[in-house]
Amino acid sequence: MEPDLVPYSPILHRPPLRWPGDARVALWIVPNIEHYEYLPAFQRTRDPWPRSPHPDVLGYSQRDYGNRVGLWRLFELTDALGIRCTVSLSMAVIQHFPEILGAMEQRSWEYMSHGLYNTRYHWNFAPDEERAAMEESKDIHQRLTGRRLRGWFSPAITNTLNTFELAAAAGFDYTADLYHDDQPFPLKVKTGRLLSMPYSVDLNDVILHRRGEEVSEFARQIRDHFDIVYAEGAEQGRVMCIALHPYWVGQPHRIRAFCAALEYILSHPGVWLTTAGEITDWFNEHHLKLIEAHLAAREAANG
Amino acid sequence: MAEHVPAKTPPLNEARHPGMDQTHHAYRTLTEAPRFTWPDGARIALTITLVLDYWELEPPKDASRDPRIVSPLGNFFPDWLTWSQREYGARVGIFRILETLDRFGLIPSVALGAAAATRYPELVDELTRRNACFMAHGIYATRRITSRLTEAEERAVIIESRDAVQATTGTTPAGWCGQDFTESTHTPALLAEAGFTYTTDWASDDRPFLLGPYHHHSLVALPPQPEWNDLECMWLRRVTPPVWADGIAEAFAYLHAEGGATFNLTLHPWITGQAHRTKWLREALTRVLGLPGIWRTTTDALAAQAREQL
Repeated sequence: MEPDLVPYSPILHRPPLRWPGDARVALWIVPNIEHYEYLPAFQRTRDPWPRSPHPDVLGYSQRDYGNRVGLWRLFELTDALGIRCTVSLSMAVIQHFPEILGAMEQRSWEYMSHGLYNTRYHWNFAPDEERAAMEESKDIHQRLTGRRLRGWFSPAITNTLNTFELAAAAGFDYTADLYHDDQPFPLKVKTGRLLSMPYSVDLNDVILHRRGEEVSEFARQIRDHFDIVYAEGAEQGRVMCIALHPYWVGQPHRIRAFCAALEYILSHPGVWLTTAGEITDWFNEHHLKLIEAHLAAREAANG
Repeated sequence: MAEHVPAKTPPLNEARHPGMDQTHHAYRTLTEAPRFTWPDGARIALTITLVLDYWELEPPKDASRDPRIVSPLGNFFPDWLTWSQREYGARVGIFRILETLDRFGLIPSVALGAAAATRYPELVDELTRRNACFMAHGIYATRRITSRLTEAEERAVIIESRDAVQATTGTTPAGWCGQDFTESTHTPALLAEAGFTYTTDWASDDRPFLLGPYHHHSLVALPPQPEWNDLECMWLRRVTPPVWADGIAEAFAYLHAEGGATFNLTLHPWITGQAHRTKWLREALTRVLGLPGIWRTTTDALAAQAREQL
């Protein structure tokens, strides 16, 4: 029996989603600010460093480049373009690197938990183990920012059949683990309320990297994707997510081409440059009831 | 220390403190990193690392090869395809690269594996004649240093690698370029103990930083910048040569503008020495060297300059 987590709903049959100011596209930009352990403390399934017995100095240092170098180039870019990011955050980053937390707080960025480290995968986690990782994430966020952690994004997108129930029960408002949509969508969970927030594993720099593509291709994808959802967004509001990794896009041969692609998008009117928290609030306040009624009607009609 | 094996259960109540999760070096942001000053007021230092190593057809059973480097036909034995393709580099490809470097007035810094140093004496002569600097690079391309070696075994590999470079080139290497950038947790300390003063194994930065100290000796970590290393970029990721060349030109221009950085280009004779790729090396270098204020140097000279400013 398939889990009935995401009731089927074709996008053009839904009530129209309107964004603030009648924007066509809600754009959220998501840097993955991660830490990959030198000597991973824990491993049950996938080997985080399959290239060699641990450590893998090459893999480790290439990713650490993001926190030392790439991210600081990204700050220059986002400052220049006035972008507030929603960070997919290995929570240990803000414990290890207070400099990063300070720079992000200064810019009022938002964070969703991307687990503790990006070298600790949640495949095959027992519910109490997965719950503990969520609770520790919440605790770190609350202690170091003074705010409640609102978003859950499993580390390295490794999850279980329990992830969404656990995230809802833990009080998260949204999750970035599912890629079924161009709009936020309420998940059918037993407790609480959890929105599925459209993150992207397609407009995602490291996915391109693995295919041997370079930043010119990433920039082309970003522009082409935008052109289409911008046109579609006149009828039915869309979310566009650009997922990136400072260790990739913050490299000196990539940052300017990436910047140019963002400038292209931001030169259009009707783009709501926003964060996952703001999208969640808008959606829950203005659209959730409409979607619930639509789902109820659909269920009544189709059984 | 024995080989590190992660626990099967996730740790609870772990204490985490500001700083790195290893003790080799401190955290440093791009904004805090020194903007290095180079001779004659150059804005950027340029080095070319040429990797010259020997890939065994029949490595010992316990040897550690980089699992990413396999024949296009798969991981089968004997792999004459890969063996001979690599040998092409030492017989044919390297001359295309040397000719190109000569034309642009660039002196290579050579990562010289011990077995290659004895197998290819003509190449050692060619390189010595060009005043190349030599870094130690392990013994065979098919035997990485990993944490599976005991400390004593690893020490012996490092000393043998160092001594082979000394014996064949007449100079004791100051630099270490690890085979496939692989290290155990001990490697930097053992390198310092063996008299090395710098390594190119750590890709965390575009500006040098210090590793250690290990018993009062620190190592300069020179950025290897693997993103545009021909093997990492064109061989493993299959980025096409024109796109590779574009990346080199753009990275160089960006770092040149940022100022006080290093730019290293690592080349393998068996990859870039293939004629269709050499063309794009020339294209990239033409664009790179079109900018003013470049310190064309070797890794030895670069490490010495950087150390004074760290």
